Amino acid sequence: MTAKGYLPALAGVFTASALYLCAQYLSLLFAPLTLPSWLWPFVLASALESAYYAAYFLGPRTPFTVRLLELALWLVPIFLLAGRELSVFLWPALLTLVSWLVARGWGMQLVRMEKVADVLGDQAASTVSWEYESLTSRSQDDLALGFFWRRLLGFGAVVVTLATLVYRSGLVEGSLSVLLKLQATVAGASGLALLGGAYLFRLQILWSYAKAVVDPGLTRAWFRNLALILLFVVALVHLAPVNYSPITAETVAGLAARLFQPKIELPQLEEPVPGEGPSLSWAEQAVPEPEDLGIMGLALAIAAFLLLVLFVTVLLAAFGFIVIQLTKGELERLRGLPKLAVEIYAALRRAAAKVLAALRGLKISLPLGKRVKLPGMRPPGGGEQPSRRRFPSLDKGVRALLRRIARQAGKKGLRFRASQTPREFGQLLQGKLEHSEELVEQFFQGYHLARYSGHQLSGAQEEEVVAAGTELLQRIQTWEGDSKS
Amino acid sequence: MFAWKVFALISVCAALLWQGRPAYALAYLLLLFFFAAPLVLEKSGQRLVVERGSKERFLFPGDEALVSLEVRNPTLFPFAWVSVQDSIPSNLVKGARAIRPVFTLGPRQTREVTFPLLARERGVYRLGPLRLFVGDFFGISTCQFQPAEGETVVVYPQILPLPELALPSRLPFGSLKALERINPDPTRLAGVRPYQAGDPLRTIHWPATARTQGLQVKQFEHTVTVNCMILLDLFEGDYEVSRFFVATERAVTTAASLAAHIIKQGEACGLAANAVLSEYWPERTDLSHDTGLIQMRARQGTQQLSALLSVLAGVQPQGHKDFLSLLGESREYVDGVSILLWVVPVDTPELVAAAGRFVQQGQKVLIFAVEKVIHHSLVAVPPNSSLQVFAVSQGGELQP
Repeated sequence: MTAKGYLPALAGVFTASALYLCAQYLSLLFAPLTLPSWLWPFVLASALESAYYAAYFLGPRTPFTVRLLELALWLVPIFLLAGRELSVFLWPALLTLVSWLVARGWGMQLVRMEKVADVLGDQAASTVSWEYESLTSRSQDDLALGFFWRRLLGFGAVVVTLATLVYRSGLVEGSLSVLLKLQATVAGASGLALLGGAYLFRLQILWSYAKAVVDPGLTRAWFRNLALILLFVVALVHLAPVNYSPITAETVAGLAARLFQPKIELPQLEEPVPGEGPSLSWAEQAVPEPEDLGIMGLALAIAAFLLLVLFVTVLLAAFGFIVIQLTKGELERLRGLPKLAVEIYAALRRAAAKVLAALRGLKISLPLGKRVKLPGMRPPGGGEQPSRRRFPSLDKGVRALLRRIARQAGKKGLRFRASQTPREFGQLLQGKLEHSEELVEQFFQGYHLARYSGHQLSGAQEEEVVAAGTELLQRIQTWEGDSKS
Repeated sequence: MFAWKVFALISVCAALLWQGRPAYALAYLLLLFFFAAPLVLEKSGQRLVVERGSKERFLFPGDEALVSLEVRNPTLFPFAWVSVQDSIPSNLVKGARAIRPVFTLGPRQTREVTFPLLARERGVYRLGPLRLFVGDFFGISTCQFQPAEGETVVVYPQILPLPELALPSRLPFGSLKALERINPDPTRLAGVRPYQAGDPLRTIHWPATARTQGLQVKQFEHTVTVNCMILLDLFEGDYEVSRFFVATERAVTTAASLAAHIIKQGEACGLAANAVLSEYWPERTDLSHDTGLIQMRARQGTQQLSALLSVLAGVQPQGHKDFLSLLGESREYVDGVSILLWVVPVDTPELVAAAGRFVQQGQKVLIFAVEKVIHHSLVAVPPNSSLQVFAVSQGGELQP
């Protein structure tokens, strides 16, 4: 038996348990969404039926009425059990419908996976490198089981969000907490088992196509080992330490609040004398009105607002990134907040790309003739530039000045070649510029100290070197030039 | 994959900020699947041990064999699937293509994998390199490893009965009965006779003595061993282009059949050939791969036969040393030999003239022409002549 036989069952269990878990959390948050106890078998059975039907019988030519009848099979009993009241019926019916639809998606995906030709094209069996084909989907960046991963993690994200909200509200205690944990474990384990089984199913399809000799006991051993892994995973998520982060949402919010809240000093209350009754005198004292915030307050408010905007933008961009990853080629169908998030993410990406391109263009736009490569400088993009970090002012000061000197000298025919050291270039300058020996010596000595000594120049030293360099630059500008170099 | 990793990192950030076991659980799961599991898979895969059942294997054409590999997982990490792909030369593949076994490998488990082989043509083949693929349970990553283990498969040349090569079944070579009965050959029992005074005690045939209730002694044949030397011509220029492959293979088959025939009769046989050995031939101190000259002294026994057949399995024609050069450079090996068996494509006049010189020195030369016979007069000479030519044709048909 191939893995396909088990997969609709796993899909049904996962769908039903995950949806039921979500519904339970919602019912804790919103009392009107309380679930009737008899609904669970309906959700599970509808999911199982839908998954198996889609995996084995559903085709493009299946009449629509059959699908309606199939759905009615589950909704009519629910309507009857709900006492024929529409308000009671709607929420359980919606859950059952969603469960039925999600399970149908699993089943249809299993059918799609069987169409090997879509994946492998007209490749000869002997050339099928199934070991790698099994991993990739049509696009190289996506996993072959991307559909399963997306759904699984989508459910996971929803469940985690709801669970976090519920636990933070303190609505879950005692046996209910244990029950919810159990349900979450069942949902997670069945989801991972579904994922593992789906991968085995994909492999089995490829193996049959590539005519691989598969060990007959592989399926059983696969599920046995998968069970061991799931046990390990369950133990990990239940026993691993949590809540050890020193930076939490509360601390961040507190910091932000403290940062942007204006400080108001409240007057010290007089301590009541023991034995005396409460005095009303303190109440008569006027509490000082907060001072007018003025321009500073306005600036703070604007900064707070901008920070908030930035935070929301980042949040939306992250959401947009997730939406893009989950929906892939269906972006045009998005509406509302997801569409906004995607657009923000795309805009940020474009902006980042433009900035990077501009930076790159800046480097490239320096003409080769003019762009002076200083000996000892690292090649562009070639690793870190420690000097830039250690001497932030140097780039703007001495080193930039040397670049300008070299560029100016190059214009006059005295090029600073890549094979030369700054000292050698300085010696050349000394030879060419009349009465500038001391100036050149002073500048290049300073440059060497700044560039290679490993410590920063003092303010006065730097000023002297910069002054010497500026003077040198002016002399080069007035220099008539040397065509021989 | 990158996107999933980013998603995992986002979930970690969310868990650290939000707190709570659900958020941490999701973060742990994603970290486990997208970061830890691929890393562990790679590290554990590198520790997989693959051992071949044997380093060398010897087969005759048409033989079937199973190459066995032992794959051992010394780690505690279970591999969802392991695929083994051995590089098997097409001449050894049984069926349309080599099989690619797939199996699962649990913690500290060992599996044996077998590949069927069918020896089609003589040669020295190298199995390997072996490629080992391992994967996880969730389709996230696959790793490939290439263990260094290899195996040499030697497919001996075909050995045919002499009539199938259109050769007389009782060729006049090997040990000759000595006319002067001086040295009895203890390996050749001629019969038993009653004990006579003076017979050495070690010649007493005890079973016969017990049966007849009287002392019986073994009677040996008196022989003189005549060493044989096969000289195989595999110079490319001596063969016709249109029949090159068939003729060279026939030459090798003839040499192997003659060697087997001689050694099975208990005689000594050596080999000299102007050929190169296959690149996969296992290193031996007395044979080199690329000198174009292979020389083995005449010896008796199955070990010698095995060595001769192994060499003949790996010989390939070469283009820079002709047969006359071989004769010249093999003097040391040829001098003490009584019968020379030359396996050549054509009995050219130069060869016959060279053979005449050996005959003058008292040696017997038998020329086996695998392509064409020019000196038909030498085919029809009496069996005990010192220089004879034989026309070899596979299948027993006589050549025109």
